[in-house]
Amino acid sequence: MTKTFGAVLAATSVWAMAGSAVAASAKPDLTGVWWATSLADRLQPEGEGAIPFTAAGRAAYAERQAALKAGEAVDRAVQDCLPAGVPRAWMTAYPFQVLQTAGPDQVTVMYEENRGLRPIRFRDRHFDTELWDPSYMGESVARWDGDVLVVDTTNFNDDTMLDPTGLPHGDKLHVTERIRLLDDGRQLEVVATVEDPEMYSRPWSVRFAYARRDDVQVKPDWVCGEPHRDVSSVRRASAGG
Amino acid sequence: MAFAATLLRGALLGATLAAASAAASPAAAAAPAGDAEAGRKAMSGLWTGFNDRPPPPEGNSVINSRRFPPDLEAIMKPWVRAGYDKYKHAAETVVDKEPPTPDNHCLPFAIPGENASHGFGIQFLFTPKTTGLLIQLDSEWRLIHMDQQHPADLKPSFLGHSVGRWEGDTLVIDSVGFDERSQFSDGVLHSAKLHIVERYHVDEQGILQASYTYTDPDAYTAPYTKTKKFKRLDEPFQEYLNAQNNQLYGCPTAKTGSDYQPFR
Repeated sequence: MTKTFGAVLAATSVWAMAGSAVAASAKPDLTGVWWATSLADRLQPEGEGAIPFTAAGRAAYAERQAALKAGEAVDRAVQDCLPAGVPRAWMTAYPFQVLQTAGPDQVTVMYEENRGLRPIRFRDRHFDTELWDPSYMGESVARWDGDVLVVDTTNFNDDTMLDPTGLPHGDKLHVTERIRLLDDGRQLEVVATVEDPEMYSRPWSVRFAYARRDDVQVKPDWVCGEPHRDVSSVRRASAGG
Repeated sequence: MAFAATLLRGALLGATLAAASAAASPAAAAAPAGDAEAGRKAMSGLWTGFNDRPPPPEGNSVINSRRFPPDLEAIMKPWVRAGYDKYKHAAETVVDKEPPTPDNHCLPFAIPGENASHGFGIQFLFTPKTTGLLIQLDSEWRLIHMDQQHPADLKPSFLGHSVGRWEGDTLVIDSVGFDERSQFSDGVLHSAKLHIVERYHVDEQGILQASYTYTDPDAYTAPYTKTKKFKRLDEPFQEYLNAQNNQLYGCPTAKTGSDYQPFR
């Protein structure tokens, strides 16, 4: 049960007094349909070797994996089609839509898989966590660093895993994504950096890349348990481990 | 608390239905007063549905949350009426238990469904080729493909396929290709031929006037139009998932979508 929805409804001043938009005008337009050409089966740190677990993180991972294997825990993103969280939402074989708008001043990502939704607002600070429930996708604010969209996301709930293998996170999870266009706008690159001092001894990053597919229309009605579009064109790559 | 949340949602949706009217939309009747740019500017921001009707009478809260629209009943073809009667019977005879709907199975509710729910927000996102419509309740979203045609090979879906255009400063959304399990009103069936036209326009008082016209010659003897008003909601869009709260049908559980079948 949401603890604060009513409070947020009442707290109009939070929005009215919130930080001003900081998006500049001549920035890249990320709007479009994007679709991965390959998909790894687990998160693999970008050029940094193994995932830097803390002792608690390694134990939590082992416990989660054992529970998943024994059927004592379920992957709710798969079984219940709940939002995958971040960065896992980027690990999708399905296309997603990005809409970059000036009013509201935000970048919105609509993931076809599980009907995922992320409004990413150009703000200089997060909303008050006393007024916002932790959520599957967290709360995202963004700024431009040159041509790179820098997205800062916090306030996640504890109902997600970082990847399908069960990589854990705690309530201090903080994800920073650097998103940019490559190849004259034909590719979208996302480098997500995970920080969670409880589970990981240092920040670590993972890279995703997508092809522009404006010939495809993203479908908004994912029905849990029913077949969807053909994703056989997405190469499945094992990250090993 | 889960049930309370579900009741709240049912009440919101029921209130929406009660606002139904067979009258033509004021927005639809008004001459275009501006252009698309004016329309986009006027419609930016978060909106929430409202009405000035009196509250429902006391009694069974589930039943009271469902205001069956008599004008819609009057134009139902027999097979639609039969399914609807089964639904009504279930709603009126089972206390504190909702009959199955797409809504309580965590499925998209069709149009307008959640986007008309009071207290929760909707938000338009305008880009040249694609208009997004964010629906706060259940964190739903729709995509409206601007100035395009419907594909010839549509696979039926709960939200259908939507194309849009501007008529002056009125946004017109045309949707087809609906899954026959979807419902634009609780317990109300339709055929694969369902065609929905939505019109959105901000009036001089700053109210977002919406109309929804349903045409389905296999299911109804006449088109059905209902109207809806939205006022500005001065807050940001926040994730809100009914799936977290709704346990009535074990939702969320595996394959909730494919388990669902409406009364027929």
